[in-house]
Amino acid sequence: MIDYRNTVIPIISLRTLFDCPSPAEDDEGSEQEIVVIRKSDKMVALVVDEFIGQQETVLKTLGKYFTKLFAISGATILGDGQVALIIDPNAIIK
Amino acid sequence: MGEEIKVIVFTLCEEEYAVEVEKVRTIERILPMTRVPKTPSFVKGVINLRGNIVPIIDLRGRFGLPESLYANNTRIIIVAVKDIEVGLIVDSASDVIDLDSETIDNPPEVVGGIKAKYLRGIAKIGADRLLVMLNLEEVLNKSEIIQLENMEE
Repeated sequence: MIDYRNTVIPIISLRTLFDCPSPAEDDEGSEQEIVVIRKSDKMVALVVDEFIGQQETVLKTLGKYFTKLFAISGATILGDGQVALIIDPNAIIK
Repeated sequence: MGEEIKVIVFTLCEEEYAVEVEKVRTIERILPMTRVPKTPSFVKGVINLRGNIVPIIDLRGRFGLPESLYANNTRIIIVAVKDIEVGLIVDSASDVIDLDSETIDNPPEVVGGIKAKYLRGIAKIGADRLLVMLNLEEVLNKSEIIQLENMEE
């Protein structure tokens, strides 16, 4: 839980949530970046490695091979050709 | 003489496998992949294939063979079965050959390693070359993937 603009909101590590292979160097005291998402009146802070930017994109599906993905609603292709996955906040805020 | 079919031959753990040419879209070198969280370990992620997002699975992992590092010869075979498009990582893709469908034998009753249901048959070419014909519908079977996902949870 953290105090965010006078409300207390839960803080979730996206690394842990997505079982990322390489564990983050957990050096205490270092600055961590969070992204605060909101669904109606509920807010959650997600700990991320790096905040890259903000842009408008077109959502593409991941194809029919994936049947039930956890917290991923689709993907998009960034300007440099990389694929970026799009998180479905509804799965994180229940 | 049976029907002539064209197949793409690829290797996996020193063995030769084949898939029908009609099911193969393209063959690519290894491309940068974006990992998708919470998927079975043989699902390596998704790639950007000329603007389309295509999931990639490692065939070694799918068949329970030891996974290896990607080498110069490693290829991604993009296959389309029904409405599913998937890339398969294989050790190398070597050739396209014509097969007489009569030379394809049914999979043997007892098969070690890859379960017989993934096989369409075994094709004999020449004196001592055997090709394992894959049954892609089964390899990409969704209900089994769901089972695997449940197992891993």
